Amino acid sequence: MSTVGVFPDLTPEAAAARILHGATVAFSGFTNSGAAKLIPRAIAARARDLHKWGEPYKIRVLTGASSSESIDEPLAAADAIAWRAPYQSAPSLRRQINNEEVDYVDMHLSQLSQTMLSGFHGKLNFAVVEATEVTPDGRVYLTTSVGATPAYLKYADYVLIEINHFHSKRLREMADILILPPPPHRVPVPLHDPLTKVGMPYAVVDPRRIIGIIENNEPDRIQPFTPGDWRSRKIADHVLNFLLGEMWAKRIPKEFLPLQSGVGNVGNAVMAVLGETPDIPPFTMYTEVFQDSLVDLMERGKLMAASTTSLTLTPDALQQVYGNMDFFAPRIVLRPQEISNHPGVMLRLGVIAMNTALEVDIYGNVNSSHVFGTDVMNGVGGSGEFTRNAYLSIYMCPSIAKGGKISSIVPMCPHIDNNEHSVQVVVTEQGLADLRGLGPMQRANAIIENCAHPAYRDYLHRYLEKARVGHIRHDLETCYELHLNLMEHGTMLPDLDLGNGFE
Amino acid sequence: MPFKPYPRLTPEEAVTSIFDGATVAFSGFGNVGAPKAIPRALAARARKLHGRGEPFKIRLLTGAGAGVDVDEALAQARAISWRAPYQSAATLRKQINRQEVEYLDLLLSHVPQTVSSGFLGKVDLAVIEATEITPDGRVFLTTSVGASPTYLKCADRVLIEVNRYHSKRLREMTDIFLLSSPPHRNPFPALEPMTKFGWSYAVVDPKRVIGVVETDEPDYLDPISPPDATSDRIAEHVVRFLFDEMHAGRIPEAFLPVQVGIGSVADGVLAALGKNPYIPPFKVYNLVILDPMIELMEQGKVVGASATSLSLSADVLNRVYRHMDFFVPRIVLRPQEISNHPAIIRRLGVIALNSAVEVDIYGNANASHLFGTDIVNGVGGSSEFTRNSFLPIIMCPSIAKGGRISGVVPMCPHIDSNEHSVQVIVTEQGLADLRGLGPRQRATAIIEHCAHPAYRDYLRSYLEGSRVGHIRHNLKECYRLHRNYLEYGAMLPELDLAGISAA
Repeated sequence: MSTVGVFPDLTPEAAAARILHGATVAFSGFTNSGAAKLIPRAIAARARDLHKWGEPYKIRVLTGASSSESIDEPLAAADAIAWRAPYQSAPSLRRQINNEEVDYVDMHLSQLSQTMLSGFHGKLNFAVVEATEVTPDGRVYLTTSVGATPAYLKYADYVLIEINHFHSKRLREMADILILPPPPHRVPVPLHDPLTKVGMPYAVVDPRRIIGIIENNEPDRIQPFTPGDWRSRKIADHVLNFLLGEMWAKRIPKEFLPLQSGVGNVGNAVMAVLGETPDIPPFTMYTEVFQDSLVDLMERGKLMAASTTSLTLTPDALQQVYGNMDFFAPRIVLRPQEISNHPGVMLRLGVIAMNTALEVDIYGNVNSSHVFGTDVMNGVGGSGEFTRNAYLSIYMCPSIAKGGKISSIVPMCPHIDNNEHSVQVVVTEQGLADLRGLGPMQRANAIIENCAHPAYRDYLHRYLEKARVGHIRHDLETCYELHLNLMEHGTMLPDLDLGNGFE
Repeated sequence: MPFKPYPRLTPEEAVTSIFDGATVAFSGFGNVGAPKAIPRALAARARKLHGRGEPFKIRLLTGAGAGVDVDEALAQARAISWRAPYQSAATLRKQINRQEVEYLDLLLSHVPQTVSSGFLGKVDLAVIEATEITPDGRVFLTTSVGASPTYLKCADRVLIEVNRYHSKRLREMTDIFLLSSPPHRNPFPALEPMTKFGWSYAVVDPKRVIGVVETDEPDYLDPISPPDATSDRIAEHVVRFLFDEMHAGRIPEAFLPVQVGIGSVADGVLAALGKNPYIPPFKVYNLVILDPMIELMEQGKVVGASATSLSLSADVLNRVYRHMDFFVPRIVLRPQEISNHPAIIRRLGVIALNSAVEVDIYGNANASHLFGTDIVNGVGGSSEFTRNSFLPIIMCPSIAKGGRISGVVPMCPHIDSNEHSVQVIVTEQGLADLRGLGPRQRATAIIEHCAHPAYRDYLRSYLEGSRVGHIRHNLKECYRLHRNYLEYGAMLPELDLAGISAA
């Protein structure tokens, strides 16, 4: 029988020394929440040392999703990443990916665990996981995110645990962990409400694979959001009016439907507006990230329950939760991303998905990841899963960017994360286009008239008129003229007078 | 008895209840199970009214393709103004591409929910083919289930075509289950392709049935051309890959359920799987049941098949009808919401084999729109399988039209399934396994293994001449091949085609 203390205590440096050049290393973390902290820094230091000696040192990095400050930034700054999946949002790493120095596989987040289990990405050498506690028999109580950590713990050859004393041990009351077996012997995930629990409060690891424990006392590094501008507020108002209209028309039931909201200022503005509106009944969320604005909504009783895979809260908001665990623990469930983003569960619950796009084309295809079709911003993330399987899928973006130099409504998207078959509603500060039941020409007109900035409408109409007639009109010669103009002249329509009215 | 018998109507009497501008939902999926006499009479009525200068067009819904009986007949009479969710008829395709008919191509599993939520407006009439309707409103469907159960439930008024041609024992294969509206839904207890959890009939409120028309006609299916050398080579690559995956333990020894698209490439793959002694007997979880599956069933190689339609040629269908004791326990016919359900596809771990019109060098697939403008059929169900399967494989010949078209292009001008979902690409040249590869590696794998040798230099130089980024692209040149074809009738006008056709 194992006893407490069987796992060797290591320094971060000693832990990092175990991780060899070329290893595939999976870190815990979905956003910066729950990310391993000391070991990635020590790996970065080790990489720098080795590089100084002229020795190669790069690893293949997996996480749940992006973990910029804790993992991606330090490792990328040390040139220590050769390959990265499934998502990232760190400036240095982004630069390296776009310079083709790092191979990046940007994936649907719910598919990660299955790909690991099936061996589609090769062998997983190490898992580096943050926990509040690990028992001698291998139960691992995770911190502020679950992500893909349970799968990593199960499939990694060697495991390093960072025990973080900063976090409340009561987080386990929110955790609900289930690993799906390999097909074809799977049973339905018996979840019929965002709060249903179907698993265990801990992840499991074979204790013999744990090569060391590192102690740590650092909070997650979560940046506060800047308050939304007037455009986010107007987008939120359009979304609100649309949802109220759908309720009136009985296409949304009186008790409402679970919401998913993407990360960022627009998403935050929408949640704030829904929270303030008495005609919107108290609601639930089935989402992947639980952000600051939701803490207040929950305390006020407007948000009754939330299912998520990470608690992405600034230190103040997290303390608000930790200070009132009796209230919050029964209202929040932290799940593996395979379940938080599971197509079947979303379809069953009838989730209303609200996500942000980089740009939208006149037919409703969405680019949420690649500027000019080439430069990755972050990745497709979970947006594809929610959009594809939602009861109602809504895409939001400001109609223009950079003072009008960029139109977010373009003739054709040079990268498509979600296509017109899944996107049902497009919203900008100009207005909302409800695309349900519309064929391509009607879609184009609705998007141009309701969503495009007035300064770009003539151009888009002309594009349509001159394009080759077909089920979908397009002109393959000029479809990327706006993008090419932007690359060449720094603005999509160089003749446009940007003098007034664009801010 | 509280039930009055339904009025017997002639087709001509029946169609008088269908008015100009009505939304009419017909049964039919995979070109089978569609009503026959009523659409014919409706087409005649439209012609007569048009002859008198009166307008007559309907908004037309079906399960999916409803072939000669519905789409072709009504399109030739110019009786369609709007069409969803899928079509595959020559005349209708022309009208859509000339923008005479508004066409909304939808993901097929979403159709029932989209209709029952009222997202497409009211359904005025449902016209459904059945083998029998009971006085209390049980409707026993014929060779396809599709979306008929939903249409029977949602339509204001209902016409039934009772077709005596079909075996009344079809009901023994049928398993109909209607989902409740969200958020009050439960998981489906489907644990394997053959699980039944519904009823053998669909239900209609008898008060809404305005009459019954009797027919005695088989379904008509266009014959599929037999597999040629190209599809045989594609099939060989696929089977070898699946065998290797089994050998590597990434596919279990018991194998996984298989889905295949429609067409000669798909038929070739089925035949090759059937012949290979190392592939164990397997099950099919598909949209349609096709002739070769019946043959494999008779040989014991396919042990069971679930689908939403029995899309069989007359000979094969009659063979099934003659041996119902053998086939009934081996076939389940489900609503398309279930046959294409993301959760079940994922749960069962389906291997999805679908064809594309073209793929780009990063693995995005265009399955529906030539030049991004001209519809072929529609997105259909293939992308639901691609998106949610365990192992999605896209197949297409490396060239078409004697080498004037390359099936591998720099960028697809329409994307049905994107690189985040597509894992394997196969042409007769070879197979590219994209799992775990970043964009550069994907491009190299696809160009070197899948592109036709005559196009490889062009594709390599496209890559070299492109803007560096996470994904290399040149927005000026990305559609050069497509534009060349539109202008010169060949993607690379200078290519010597004599050598290519022999390859």
